[in-house]
Amino acid sequence: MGVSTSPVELDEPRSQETVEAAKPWVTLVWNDPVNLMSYVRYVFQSYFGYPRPKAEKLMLDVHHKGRAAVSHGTREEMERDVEALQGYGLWATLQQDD
Amino acid sequence: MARGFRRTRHGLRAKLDGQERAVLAHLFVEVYELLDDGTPAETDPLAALVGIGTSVDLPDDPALARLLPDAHALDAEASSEFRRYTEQGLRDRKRACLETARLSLGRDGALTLDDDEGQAWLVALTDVRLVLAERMGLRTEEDHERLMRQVGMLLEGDLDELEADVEPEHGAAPEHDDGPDGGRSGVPGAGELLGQGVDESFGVDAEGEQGPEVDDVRSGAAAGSGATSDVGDEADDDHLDEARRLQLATMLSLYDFLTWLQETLVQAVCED
Repeated sequence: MGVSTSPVELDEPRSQETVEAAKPWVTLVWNDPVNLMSYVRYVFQSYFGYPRPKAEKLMLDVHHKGRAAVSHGTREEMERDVEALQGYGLWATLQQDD
Repeated sequence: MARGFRRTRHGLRAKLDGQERAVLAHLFVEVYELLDDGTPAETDPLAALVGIGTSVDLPDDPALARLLPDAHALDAEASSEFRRYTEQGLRDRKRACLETARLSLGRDGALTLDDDEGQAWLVALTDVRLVLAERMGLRTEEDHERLMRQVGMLLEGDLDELEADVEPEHGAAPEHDDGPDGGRSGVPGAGELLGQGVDESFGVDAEGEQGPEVDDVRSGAAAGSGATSDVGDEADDDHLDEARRLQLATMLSLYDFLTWLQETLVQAVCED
């Protein structure tokens, strides 16, 4: 299946580890005019296992606000989520939470 | 007349005629080839095993860049690193979905998918639509309407009506609803346009050139122009030359057909 992912581990510099490690990472999904609202909700349900109301709310946030934070966790976890969501064709990025 | 996907006791089932299947198969192959970066399997067997590739930059082709976007919006270096570890795998998985979808089209009888194939189809349809959209310059919520106006699928009167009826925040999705743009009760223009335009559009006839070339989906370049140009952008309203207008009309019609088909598939998949 095209939507499964293998774990990815990146060698990243650990210099500011103590400061940076405290801040969690988020996966963002950005609005685009192509992906169907129903499909985006379906992806949130089937990949994250979110219940339909939560998936629906996140989808609407993406649509109306331009983006939504769809998952939170470690950098490695968010990398996995981004890779999977990109596999579905969603426009997903990760960054450190502000 | 095509019938969209429905969940039946045999699986996810749709009715598509030969022409529609041919068009879909063609598009699946186009995007499959677009995703082939031409590098043979990684020479370092260990790297190949864990899916490490050599790509570190955002692809030059904007359609490919949309399929394989940067993962860190604010950090180019981190994006490159991420890409090195993920891009090859993403390409491979996307291609596997496109291949699954294409192969299922070749089976006899009604098009019937199991759930795994249904998922592959959803990804394949998404990727084909993303590529078509990028080629047409469909990048914002308003572009679909603009394109319809450009190709003459929408007359000024219809547009006024559309603007009056559609809430601005739903501008992205008039094609998802039974909207005022003609509705989705049947195949949106697929009967006419897929039927009529296919031969020329897909260069079935050897002369090819007189018709719109949807092969551009792969190359990213309209004839004679740079790789960044696309069909929809460069001319303003009302000033597309006829060949370009036809090409754009064909692509837009295909896009709408795929949108409709995907919408039916999402509904059917979700309806366990």
